[in-house]
Amino acid sequence: MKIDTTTEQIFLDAHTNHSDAIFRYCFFQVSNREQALDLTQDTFVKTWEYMAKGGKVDNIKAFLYRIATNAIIDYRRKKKSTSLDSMMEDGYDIGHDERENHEQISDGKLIMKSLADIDEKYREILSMRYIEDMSITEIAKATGESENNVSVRIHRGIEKLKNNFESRIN
Amino acid sequence: MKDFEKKLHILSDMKNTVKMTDIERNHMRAHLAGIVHGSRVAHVSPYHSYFSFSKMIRATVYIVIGVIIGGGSISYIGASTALPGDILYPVKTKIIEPAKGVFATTPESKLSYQEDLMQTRLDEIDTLTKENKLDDQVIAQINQAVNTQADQFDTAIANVEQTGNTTLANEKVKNFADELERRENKLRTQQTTKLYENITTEPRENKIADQLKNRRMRINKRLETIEQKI
Repeated sequence: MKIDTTTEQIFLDAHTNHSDAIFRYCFFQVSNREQALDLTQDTFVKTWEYMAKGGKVDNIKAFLYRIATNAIIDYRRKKKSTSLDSMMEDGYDIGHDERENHEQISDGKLIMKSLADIDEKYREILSMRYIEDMSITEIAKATGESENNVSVRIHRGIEKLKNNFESRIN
Repeated sequence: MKDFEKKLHILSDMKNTVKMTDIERNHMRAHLAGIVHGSRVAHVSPYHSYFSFSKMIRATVYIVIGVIIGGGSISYIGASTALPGDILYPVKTKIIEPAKGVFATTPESKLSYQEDLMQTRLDEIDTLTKENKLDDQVIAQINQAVNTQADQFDTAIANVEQTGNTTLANEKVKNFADELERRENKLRTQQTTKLYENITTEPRENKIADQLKNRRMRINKRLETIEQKI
């Protein structure tokens, strides 16, 4: 089957526009930088394979998140994810900017640790909402759920995150 | 609950701190571009001429690699994933990798190619560390490989500078320095952990980290020179 240059351009533009977001999404699910890079690359390779076979993609951003989510699920089946401490070891640190106040840095670190502790299904949704600033509609398309379910899950996720956050403070 | 929800907006700051480095992004893009273009070549019409000049060049390079590699019991796959200390590592660095660079014809594409190779060298260090394969011979080999690769990257930067694109050169050198620092810090953390947990008494990771630091110091001096031109 002949692949036109428009399809190629759409795909490569998608990488330019969304690769960092997909990487972040994978990173916060698996807590390992190298693994997140592998999963990001796998996501784009699978997306290309689908497009090259003539598969139609109406919303490429949502499509990428779905593929990434499936890749993460497959990865988890094989291995356990590592802890937040290893994320710090990999060179990631919150609040590196000295202009931020210490309270924000401290809260940010606790929120990160709490996020790593909550159930995956809430962590995914909260990452999309609060890290990637995705709307309810976008999250619904990315996850294949209804907007109502997404709203409910966000609300429950925040509750669980808040409980975890407060128990860490105490 | 709403007060807590306001705190969550701290997380959106992560867009600035959690992202791929330019080297990682370009490395991935090059890999994907190879797949995309490979798909295009695979689907060429059967009525298309198979004797175009560029195809002849590629075919020649691949045949040469195939004859050299296929001539013995060496496998291409084994060579392309070889690490310092492996018997196939010279095949990887002296035959396979240079063959991939044949198609980089502009200063910018050559720089991108050198970035990919530098990333490969740094990834090799990661793998060696994780698999506990560091001994004095391997350390000497990886340090030499890093130095050689960094020299080639430096030459590619100089060529881009000569085209007048000092902004790009500055950006690439800065990203490279940042990446070296990140890897150096990671190695030192791993070293400290191993020493603390009595996994080893030999500061092997530090020997590589010192090499990365030396290289970074040289790059920072280069960066100062480039920034003066901007």
